[in-house]
Amino acid sequence: MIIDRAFALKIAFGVLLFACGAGLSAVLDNYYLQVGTTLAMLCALCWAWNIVGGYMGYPALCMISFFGIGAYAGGIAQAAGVSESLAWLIAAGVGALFALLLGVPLLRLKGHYFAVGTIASVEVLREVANNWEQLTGGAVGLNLPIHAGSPDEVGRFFYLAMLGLAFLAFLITALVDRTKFGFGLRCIRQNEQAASMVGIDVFKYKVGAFVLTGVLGAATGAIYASMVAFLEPKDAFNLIMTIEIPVMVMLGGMGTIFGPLIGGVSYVILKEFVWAYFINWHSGILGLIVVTVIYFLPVGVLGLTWRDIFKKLGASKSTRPATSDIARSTS
Amino acid sequence: MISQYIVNGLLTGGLYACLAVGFSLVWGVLNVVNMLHGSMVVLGAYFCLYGVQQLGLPLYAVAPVACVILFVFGYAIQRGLLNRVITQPILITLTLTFGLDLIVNNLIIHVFSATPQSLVTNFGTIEFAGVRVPVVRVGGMLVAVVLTLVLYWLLRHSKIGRAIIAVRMDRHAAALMGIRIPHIYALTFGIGAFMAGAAGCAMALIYPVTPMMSGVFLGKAFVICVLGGLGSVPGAIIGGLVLGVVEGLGTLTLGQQWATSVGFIMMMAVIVLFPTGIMGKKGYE
Amino acid sequence: MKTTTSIIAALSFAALSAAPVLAQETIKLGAPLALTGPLADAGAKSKQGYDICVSAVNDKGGVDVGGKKMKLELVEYDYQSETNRAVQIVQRLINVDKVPFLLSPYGSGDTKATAVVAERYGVPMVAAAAATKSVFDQKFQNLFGVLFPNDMITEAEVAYYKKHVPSVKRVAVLALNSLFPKAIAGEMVKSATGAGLDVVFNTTYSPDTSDFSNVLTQIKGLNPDWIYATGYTQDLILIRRQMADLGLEVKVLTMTAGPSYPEFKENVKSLAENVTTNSWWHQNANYSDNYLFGSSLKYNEAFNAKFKRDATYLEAAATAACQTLAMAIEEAKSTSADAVRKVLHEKTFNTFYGPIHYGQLGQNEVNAALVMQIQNDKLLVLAPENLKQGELQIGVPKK
Repeated sequence: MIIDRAFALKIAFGVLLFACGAGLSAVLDNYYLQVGTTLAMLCALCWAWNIVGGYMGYPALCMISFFGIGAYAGGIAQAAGVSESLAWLIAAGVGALFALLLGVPLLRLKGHYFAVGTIASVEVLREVANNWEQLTGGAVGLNLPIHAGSPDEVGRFFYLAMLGLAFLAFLITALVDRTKFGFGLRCIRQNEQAASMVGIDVFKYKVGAFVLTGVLGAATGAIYASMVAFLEPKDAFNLIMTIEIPVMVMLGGMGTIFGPLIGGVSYVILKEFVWAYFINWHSGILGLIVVTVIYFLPVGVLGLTWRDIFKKLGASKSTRPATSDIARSTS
Repeated sequence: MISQYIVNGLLTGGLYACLAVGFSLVWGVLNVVNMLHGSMVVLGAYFCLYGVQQLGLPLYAVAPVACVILFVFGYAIQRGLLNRVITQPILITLTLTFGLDLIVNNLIIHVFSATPQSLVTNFGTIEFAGVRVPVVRVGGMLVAVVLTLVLYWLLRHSKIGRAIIAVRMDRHAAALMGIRIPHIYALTFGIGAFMAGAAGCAMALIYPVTPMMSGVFLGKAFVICVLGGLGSVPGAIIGGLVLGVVEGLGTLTLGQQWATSVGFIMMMAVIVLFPTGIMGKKGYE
Repeated sequence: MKTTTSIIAALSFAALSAAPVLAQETIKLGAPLALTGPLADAGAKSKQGYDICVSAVNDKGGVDVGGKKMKLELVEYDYQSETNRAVQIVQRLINVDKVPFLLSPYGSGDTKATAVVAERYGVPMVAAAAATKSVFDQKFQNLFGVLFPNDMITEAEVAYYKKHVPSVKRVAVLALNSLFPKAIAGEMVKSATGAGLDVVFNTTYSPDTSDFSNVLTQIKGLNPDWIYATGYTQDLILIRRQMADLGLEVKVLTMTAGPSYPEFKENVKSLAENVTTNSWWHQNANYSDNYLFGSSLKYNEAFNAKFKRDATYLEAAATAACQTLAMAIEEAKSTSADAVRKVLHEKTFNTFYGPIHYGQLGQNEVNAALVMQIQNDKLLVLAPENLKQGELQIGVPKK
């Protein structure tokens, strides 16, 4: 593990930020607690995705599979009488197992096939949840015990729980960023063959990263399930969210410690804004945001420098790739 | 009875093939997973509905116009937007088309509303040895298959078609041969959109169309494309027919509730077992 | 970097202050609506139902709260047909917009999920589009449903067809795998078995189904007398067309709730003839309403004047949900949740929708199940006897 001053500062900043977040729970009213909870949830998912999608560079579109598996594992455990916190742990375990089972076959694939395989897992799981009535309650849904307490207490409890999980995801990311494991993942992103040449057990690293992502995603899902107290397949396995998460990370900066946070926060703020003002147009405007992110922030907010911005503004015409560029970089 | 299931499957499969061929071509040649494809199909269907119901024109006049409009639309999207990021990792192009899909779908809801609409025709059915075949479906399927075959022929025999195949085989070499790659890319995407429009017109005859169907169409296109091999036109036809029949047999054995998952499960199995498609190596059209 | 941060800060400020401006002396009703996504069509219809209620109440001066006239104001958000979003919006409505009363999102599933939040805060929520008993069996004190339970519908239907077509013996049930269709199909199977009918087929289909030819071939092989299909309207349209394609003929074909909507007829044309359906409401039932519209027929006229088409039970129930809230506020002479909740639980409201009595469980228990059939392009009431407009026609056209 390599710790330099910049890294120590980053960690200190992150810890401070989370401490402030926790402190805010005392003053925020319930709606903002709810927004904060959603934000923490999305950031946790973003950090989780960032390990596979950012550091390792694999286009995994199965974040919601992990989330949904966790939600159902936790929900089923809770409905069977297991306590809330134990149910969350069980869900994390189930998430790990599921990630292993899904990862071993899929991580042998590359590029589009990997992306398609992961996205198909969402569809299949949703149908399984829909049809396996004895276990999941099917389309009629699954009722969980409602967390007791006044709205304020409940709101604060779930806010802090999600924030805690996001903090955990943040710490894991920081660890990944500075250890041999993270170095290996970056090598895999650059060139898998070269990575195996320098003695990295590529497949083990890939599965390891996938499982880590799975555990975090499933835990997030389990907390979410306890919070809403009612699960439906179409809600737990939501196809749009499985693409939104990568967009958020892209917005912030892939393969960085703070990228998921910046991406998650700015995306949620943009979404809230659009949603308040453009009741009939928001899905189109969200599409516009996605398109804009890809054009103007291809390496995320964190990758921006002043020079890039000037370059973009000054020479927007020359960004169109020349024929030779296309030929060079796609073959 | 089993013959009725197979005929049902083949009729549906023919439509599926038409649905997937444009998607497959774009994926194979451009290396872009076009999440916008489903909405382009729906758009084609709505153009046909608009022409026939609001303008009172006959379908055979409206359908080609709808397809051409979509061709122009596709060409413009690729030339203006996608070409600029085509060298980026697939996650970028995939999310970009996803964003475009959100925009187009929202526009469709606004312009055409979300109420189901369709062209109501009654051409009757043919009965043969206890198997019933609705004429409109045969027609839809025939048009779809004929168009697909025409596309296949054009790719092999026209100059532009050869250029597209050349780009698909080796972009590097194709560029050195003086092929204008951005133009070829845009043409390919345009052809994909044209085929989506054609599929949409066939759909308008058979299905009550809603903007929300785009997701279902896209899902089918994914499965067929993987089954038949990326970018392969005959592969799309075979993949479509296979999917149609498999869904039918899935209904028979597992029950209707599993019928749509069968396709996705099959796709995941194919991806894992044959990472280059059932046909083995990339086919050259 | 600095500019980006400040842009984000500016945007966040704008978003935080985005709550609608407070108007004086209004009663705000929070309405999460499904304006986009799979439920977009139904969501738009619910909105029309709410809108006509709000404008009618405001046109007559507003709600009389102990002598003070207060106007109604609808605070709406689109929840994109996503449960997660609906829950969040209800939180927003309660905490940011401070709405004292809620109208539920569309459908049983989303209603159930949001009812948890409303219950937590003690905000009364009236559901216009949830008929499934399992939504109301959680003993929530703040959830009220306008639609009466599914089993009243299926019991009425089974009794009617058993009496008028004694030869109906074999029933096939096909339902969308989603909360409401599945629940009503389950009640149908129960009612039919209870009445001694033979349920020969009972299956659900996935929401992404694009073809029904195979399942209908399966049903055809079983030779049923009565087919009961329920799901999205576009699915029912396709099922009806593919039945004709496959030459599947039955004595009675019942579909829920598609045939109630004009687009069903528009999309199947002559095949719509003799399709039966059930409904929670129809303008021909013509209940009188002293509070707002005068009567069911007058409500439909008002609706027609505004939206250029007839109202179905869906819009009517939405209007009724809003109207009972207004009536309860007048009766309670207060906008406090406790007083209004008490009235909602106890009173029977006489509306254009018919008498509505929520009772202690919160679900309207006044049975007025209608059996209906499309004849000569018109939707006619067959039962109950006092509202009858026509006789049952047996069999469906081949094409």
